[in-house]
Amino acid sequence: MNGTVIETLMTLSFLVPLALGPVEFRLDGRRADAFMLFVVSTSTVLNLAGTLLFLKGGAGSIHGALLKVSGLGEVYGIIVDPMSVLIGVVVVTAGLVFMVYSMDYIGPGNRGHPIGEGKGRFYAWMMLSMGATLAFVYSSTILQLLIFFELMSLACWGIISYYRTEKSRRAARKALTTTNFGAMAGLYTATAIAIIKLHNLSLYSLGSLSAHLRLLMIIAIMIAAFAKSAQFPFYSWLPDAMEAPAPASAFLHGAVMVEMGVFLLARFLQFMGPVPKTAFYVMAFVVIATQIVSMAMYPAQKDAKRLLAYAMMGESSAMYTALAATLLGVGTGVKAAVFQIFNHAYAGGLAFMMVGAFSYVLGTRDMNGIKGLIRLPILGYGWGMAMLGLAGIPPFGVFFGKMAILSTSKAIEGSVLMAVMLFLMLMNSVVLLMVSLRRFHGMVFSQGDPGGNNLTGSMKACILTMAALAVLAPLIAYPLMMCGGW
Amino acid sequence: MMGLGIDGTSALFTVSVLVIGLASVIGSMGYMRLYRDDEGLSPRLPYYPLLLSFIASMALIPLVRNWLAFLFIWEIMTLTSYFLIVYDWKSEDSRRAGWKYFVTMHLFDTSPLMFAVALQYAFQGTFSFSPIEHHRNVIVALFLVGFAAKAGLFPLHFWLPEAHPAAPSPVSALLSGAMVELGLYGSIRVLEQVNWHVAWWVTAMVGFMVVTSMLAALLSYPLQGDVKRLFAWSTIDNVGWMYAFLLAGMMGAAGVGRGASYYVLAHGMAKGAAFLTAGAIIYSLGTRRLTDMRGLLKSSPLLSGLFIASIFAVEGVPPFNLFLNKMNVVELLFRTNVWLGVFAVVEWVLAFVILLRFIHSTVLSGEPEIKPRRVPSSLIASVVFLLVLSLVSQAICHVIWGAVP
Repeated sequence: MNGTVIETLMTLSFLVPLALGPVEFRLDGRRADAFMLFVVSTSTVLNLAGTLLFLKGGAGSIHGALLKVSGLGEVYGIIVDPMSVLIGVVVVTAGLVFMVYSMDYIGPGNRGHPIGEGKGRFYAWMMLSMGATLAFVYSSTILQLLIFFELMSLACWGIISYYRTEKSRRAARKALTTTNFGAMAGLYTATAIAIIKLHNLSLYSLGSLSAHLRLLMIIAIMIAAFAKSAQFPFYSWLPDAMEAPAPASAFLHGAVMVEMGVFLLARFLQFMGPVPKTAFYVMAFVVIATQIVSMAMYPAQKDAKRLLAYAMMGESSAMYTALAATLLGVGTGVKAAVFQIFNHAYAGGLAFMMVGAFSYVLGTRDMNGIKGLIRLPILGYGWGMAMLGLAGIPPFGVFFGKMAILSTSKAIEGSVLMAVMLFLMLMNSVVLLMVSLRRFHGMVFSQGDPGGNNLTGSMKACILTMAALAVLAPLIAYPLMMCGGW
Repeated sequence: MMGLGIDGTSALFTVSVLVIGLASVIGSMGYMRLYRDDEGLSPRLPYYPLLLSFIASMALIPLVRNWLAFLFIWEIMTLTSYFLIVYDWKSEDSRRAGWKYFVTMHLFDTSPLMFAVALQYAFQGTFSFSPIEHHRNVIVALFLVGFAAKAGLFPLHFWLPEAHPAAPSPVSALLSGAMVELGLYGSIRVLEQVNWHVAWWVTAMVGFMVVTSMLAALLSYPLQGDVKRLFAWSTIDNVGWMYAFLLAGMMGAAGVGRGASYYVLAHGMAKGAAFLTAGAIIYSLGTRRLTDMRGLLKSSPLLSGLFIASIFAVEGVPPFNLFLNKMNVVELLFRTNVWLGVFAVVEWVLAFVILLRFIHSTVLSGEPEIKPRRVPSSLIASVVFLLVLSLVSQAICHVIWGAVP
């Protein structure tokens, strides 16, 4: 009985934004704001209510098939387990903060990108991507994962080209092409294998694949995941995608959607069981290459947002490192990766919101041109907190996530490449700290009057909320981390 | 969750942090007027909240018995100390020192410690302090490297002579008198988890660091022109002496934890006094160049007296109690390895001679060129407080050690 209620709440939490989001294409101005707030907070409340009931009911995994067809088995379904609930919480909470933030960000007061009209279009794409991400997270079948993976890519395209400049259109096409390639090569293959060999699309049937097909399928899924998370060699769309408005980047390219690649692979590893070691080597190669690219790109970045884009790549690589440990048989890897998605989302979100604040207040994201932020404490300290948080300095949650990933180090006994990956993860944060601390000194601890607009009250409140969440994330995740069903 | 606990070693380290912390807060009340002049023109970081968090984190570290909590508080200490080092952010030197400090810490301190703690957790299944059984030498070596970077042992010392002088003097007193010693504290805890049994190469690594730290300090003393840098090098020298206890322990000597804790308390009081004296001189003369201090005896006998007393205290000249602790090191080393004992004695004497020459060529000779400004009495009081404690530190240690079960 309780299970059905939770299932319904979670299903509604993604159906509401998916169904009502497109209405926003016809709205604008204050009416768009009001409708968006109504839809997004409804979805958030439904989801959090479901989460509380789930925790109260002992956090046992719930699986419900929504549609079954003979020959294809389960087509649509929902899994409510600690993993999907944890990520669901991050999607709705971070999503809500980003949406409230964008109410003032997308508007005439923005010095960098003043917007007179077209707010509704922004909200529509954002709500579609929120709904798609939630639906993806609770998916129980490969087809469902595929459909919402593609819907996320589509929403991403709509958002990146939002400002309708030539540059943003090109970036949007690149993002769509790359992630769509990942879906074609990866998820379509996986779906085909499931239909032909298993006659069942359900994730629960993955365990019965032969070792050979498991390898094939996991490599296909890796391609999709790496394209989504901008890992080597599919990374170049992400820095270009920074043409999107800041709150959208925060959701799509920073905190949540990019990490859905990690979630996808984690889900498959969870249901598939042991995979031949070849998969580990593929993963190790990609992670090592991505970490090196990401580190090498930090020093050259002038645009604060592009610096963050490379940091997101590095952070996702760290999460894949934990999954690599799972490929070597350390079961806690999946848990560590998902824990880090949770912790990282708030620090990453804060960082993107700070860059948004630079655009809004100062009209620039060029780190060379920003000086004397110590006079604007929210901007100065907020930026410092975000960058220190991303580099994994306590008290921010990313530190605990990194400790969790490092705790899979038993896998080093399986392959020394694991030690290389963990080492690179630590080095990545050292280089990020080197670069961002130098930038911090230049931007904050410097003479000069930054001038500019003032942040509105709601934007300030969003920044403070996100900073608090970046610190409290591990505590929030703790009850879900401790329950069974991983 | 943090697993608090206390024993003699913890008690002495925490007391030492709190006493220097108290002196530093008292000293700050007068000293920080130096920065008040241009507050309107350039906003400042919140000094007292940072200082108190720094002291609180350091006082808590010796009391936790859980590596994750230890690391968390350890990093709060690093973060707050970074902000205190860049407190004077308008100065290019402070910014550079702060950057170098934080980056060095993340690379050589935080990263190895995170790896070590995670490895121990991966194989032992707990973050609590527990015997290190699997991959013992690798884990111990990672821990020791991380702690050596914080302690400023050669060759991981390079951040220290820049960072300690860059901070406001009461903060320098804490950095040198309390923070670097916590590196030693962590090392003691790790070595206890393996009953002081480590592979020869780990012992050799520590031995190398001890000897080269003392040698590097000895060679660097004569080159110093800045009073705070001089004291910073003295810290590197003394950290070498403290780690000599651990070296002796790894070579089989018993009860070195107690000796090291006594040394830390005595040195902390003396070094705190030295940096606060440097602060008083900077406040009074407006300069930190040693050559500008010529003739100080004539213009300000009080400051000269405190300066000479502080150097004597730091160098372990009787009646200052650090003498007893240095004797303890020498005796231990003679018992474990005669050559190390001889080296320590020679180094002690040479360092004292060099510092004595500094006293002669600065405060005792020449005519004063700068008219000294009156120093706030709170600053003088903090120095006197620590110097008096330096005279009785051994007795304090006995009492505390006896009082803790």
